[in-house]
Amino acid sequence: MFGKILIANRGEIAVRVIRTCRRLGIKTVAVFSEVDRNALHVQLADEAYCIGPARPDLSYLNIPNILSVAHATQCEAIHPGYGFLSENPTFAEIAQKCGFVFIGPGHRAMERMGQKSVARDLMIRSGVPVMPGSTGSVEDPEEGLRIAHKVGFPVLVKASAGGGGRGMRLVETEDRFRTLFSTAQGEAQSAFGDGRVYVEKYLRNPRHIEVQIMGDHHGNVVALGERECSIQRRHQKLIEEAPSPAVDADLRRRLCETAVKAAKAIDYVNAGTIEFLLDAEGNFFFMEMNTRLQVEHPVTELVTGYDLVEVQLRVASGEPLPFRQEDIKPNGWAIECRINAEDPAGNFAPCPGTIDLYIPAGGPWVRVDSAAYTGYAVSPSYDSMVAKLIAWGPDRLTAIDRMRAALHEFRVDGIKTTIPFHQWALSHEEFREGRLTTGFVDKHQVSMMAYLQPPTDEAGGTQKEKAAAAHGKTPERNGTTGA
Amino acid sequence: MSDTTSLTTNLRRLIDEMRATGFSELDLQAPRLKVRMILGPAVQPAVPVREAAAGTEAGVADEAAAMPVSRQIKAERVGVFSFGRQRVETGAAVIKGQTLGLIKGISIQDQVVAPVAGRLTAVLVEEGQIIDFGRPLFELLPEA
Repeated sequence: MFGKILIANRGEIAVRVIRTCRRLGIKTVAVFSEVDRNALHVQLADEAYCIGPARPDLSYLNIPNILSVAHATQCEAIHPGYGFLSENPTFAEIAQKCGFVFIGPGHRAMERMGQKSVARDLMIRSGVPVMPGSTGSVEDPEEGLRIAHKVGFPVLVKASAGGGGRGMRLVETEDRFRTLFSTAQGEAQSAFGDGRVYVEKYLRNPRHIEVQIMGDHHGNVVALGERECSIQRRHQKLIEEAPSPAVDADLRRRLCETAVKAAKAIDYVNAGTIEFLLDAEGNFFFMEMNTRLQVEHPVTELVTGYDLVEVQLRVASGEPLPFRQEDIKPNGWAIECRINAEDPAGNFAPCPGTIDLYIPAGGPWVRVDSAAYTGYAVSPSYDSMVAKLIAWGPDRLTAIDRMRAALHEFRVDGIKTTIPFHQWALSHEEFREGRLTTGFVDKHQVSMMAYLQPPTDEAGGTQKEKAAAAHGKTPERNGTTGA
Repeated sequence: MSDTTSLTTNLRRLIDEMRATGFSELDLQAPRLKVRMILGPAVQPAVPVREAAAGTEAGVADEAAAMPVSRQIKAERVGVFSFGRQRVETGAAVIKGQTLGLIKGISIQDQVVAPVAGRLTAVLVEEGQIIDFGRPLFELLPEA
């Protein structure tokens, strides 16, 4: 096992990695930007060094500075967390060439999965079901149109180098195809410097099901079960759970086998996630692979009992996986709510600012992964996540109720957060029944807004409090709660 | 005119050579020229050259008076600090562009240079210290 590692990240994930390292007796080196000087990961690590100004490209993406700190502090390995450099094959390769172990997959596997059309082809050849569509990228709009006809409208035109919805166009009808095809090509070119696109069938309101896998350097790959992340907005996940209410034992076995097959096709090592779309008939299709630890990994930890960061570290240091496929048996149910500094009533606009009062939820079966504290300023330079609230229960409804109770006591004053959104979603009948799709938030927009913005003229005390919470009007809320 | 220019250039080259080889003193006599140079610890090397070449007595003072307030020289890179051949000390006079130390990163070695001429009022760094971005390394009182 390593004696000392550098964590090339910030926020809750850096704190998360430090916690496991502390328990395992591994020394940690944190890096930070000028605005993160007082950040929690800086306070918790054994050593911390500033690597640049707030702008991510000058600090958290600054490969020479990060590697220089790793070198100067004699770190053996680098944990990239998620985001930033975690899926950058160049960083993984350079780090390795400089003599550091990259705690993640090999750069070649990362590179192949990063190219969406390449990954798609690879999966087809490995016998992994993909959404019907083109083989590889398509240059000619006429060829694209032929494929669209074959699979049937609506179709998606997607950037091969893409991600985050950029360079992606939904085409509902034939007459719009040529125009939107070239729009997607242009957008892909400007966003990624790579104008290649491909065509695939668009599934209306599918479920987002993903499988956590872990691979070691001894040829073992194990699937740690599925997570459902259907509650999302504009491809940003908001609520995740494990297992999925839509997956029975048979489907779970098929999903896991497929995920292992996909990972083995690229000799995958360390933590990875295979994302699938699941249709109403129980068919699933490979969407993409995330070659890193996921934000929502805690729900898998709570139902499998394994610390995934620990497994990452062990595997990276050359140890074999500490479990076999037959050891993985989901126990109970876990749910995660992402508490973001966003205004759910205002189109989820980011609301950076200083947290005047931070009181995380507690109690049995409640876990909070966060780097926030009272007085902490959520910077507009980085993503808006304040905390991940995770609750476990022996069954789904118990987990939901524990989560609702935890949300009720979670205080983040001074900025608007998505807490009221979660309170709404978790009390929604369809959510409680497990009837989820990626269209859930859009479909129930009216119900959500009614919850977040109750009519003020006839509102009673409780509603007023609710509205205040939704609007982040902390003085009112402080008043009603007597704080 | 061109003679003076080429002389200056040649002297500069000579100084670089002296630095590289570790010589600190030089007496040079030529038919129409007499130069004596001493490169002491943290002595400004280029200034005596120009004095010698120009045959003048006083310091250069080629710029208007700067604000007499100490300013910090901060690290713009990350790595391990080294003074290099010679450690500069508090009180040393430095010239603009003078190398005060090196920051050795994993593949890059960056020089820390004096942004203006002046006198070091503080040396805030140790040999071998790990330097992070923006760390104050020296305090420099610009030349009046």
